[in-house]
Amino acid sequence: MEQSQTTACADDALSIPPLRIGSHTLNSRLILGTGRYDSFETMQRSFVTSGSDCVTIAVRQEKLHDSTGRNIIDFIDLDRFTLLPNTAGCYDADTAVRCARMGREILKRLENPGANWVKLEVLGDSRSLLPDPIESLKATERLTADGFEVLCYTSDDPIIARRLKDAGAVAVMPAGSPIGSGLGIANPNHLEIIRDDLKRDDPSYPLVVDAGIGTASDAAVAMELGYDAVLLNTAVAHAKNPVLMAGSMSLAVRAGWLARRSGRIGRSRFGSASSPEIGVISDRRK
Amino acid sequence: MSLPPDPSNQSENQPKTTQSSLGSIVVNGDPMPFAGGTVSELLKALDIKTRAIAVELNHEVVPADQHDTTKISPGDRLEVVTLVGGG
Repeated sequence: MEQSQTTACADDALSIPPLRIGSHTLNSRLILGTGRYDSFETMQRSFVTSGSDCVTIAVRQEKLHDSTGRNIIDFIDLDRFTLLPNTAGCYDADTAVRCARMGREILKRLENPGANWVKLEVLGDSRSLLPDPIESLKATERLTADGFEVLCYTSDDPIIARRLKDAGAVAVMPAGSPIGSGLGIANPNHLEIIRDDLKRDDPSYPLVVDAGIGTASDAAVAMELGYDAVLLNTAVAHAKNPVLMAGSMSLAVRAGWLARRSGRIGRSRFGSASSPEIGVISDRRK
Repeated sequence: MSLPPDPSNQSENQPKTTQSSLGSIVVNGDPMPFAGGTVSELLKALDIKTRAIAVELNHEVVPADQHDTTKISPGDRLEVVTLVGGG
């Protein structure tokens, strides 16, 4: 039937290529955090609607006296998701390197392919949760030398972004705004400078907006700015309906990617009519 | 080897475990008496329920295949970590 052929064509035209980061290939450009859900079950249902195939997880001390025996790993489909261990909560390079190595050891033990990469996060301030660029750079150098594929969380400063790439990060992940703030993309101009700079001679170099996303439009803006993926957590986990928001984010990331490739129209101060001006049944002129 | 202290058993009527004769180690920031043994023996005594863990001994990761052979000494500092939800 003609209509189904048209639909098939449309589906094909709207297909989005997988994203390669280091040695990993992601079919979805939405990377999800695993924290702050009210239950593991809500997290699992949100994962389904998100369409994501990569989730990031944190490393923490095991509870030695009141362990419930419920481990988050038992609630993640390891056949579907690539795990991305992170160093969330570290405030210096030494601790972040230790944290990354412990995450690698756990994933090796689980025989999970995520053992060779890490989302590096080294914070500089506990109130804003903004990253410490100096410590992040040191940790990137050390972890890269130790064989890690480092995806580095950073601020939206273009110079430090370049330094992180030069230090060997396989992806640079500037914050849209502070972690968990929901403020969206605070400085789109800086994100565009980072994109232009880091992709100038290396168009496939992966850039990810990590942190600050509040709702679907923020994720779409990140993708429209030419970023390759969005990493978010609180925007879904703390939405009134995380399962719906996860689906919204999935659509937004896809829409943003497609819009970027579509080539948006220019901005104009005045209007520009969509309908012909000739033949209007009115005597009014100008 | 000795068992880790259980905080719920430490009422004021009971003498606190003396650590001088046994030596002590620090696990996840908390001191505990320890008479000697391997990483595997410590994990067994701690009753760790998941295999999603890593052990760090004095800031160096001990790979899982070395847990049986790596000895813990008095004064050692260990971290036993697992995976948790986070962004």
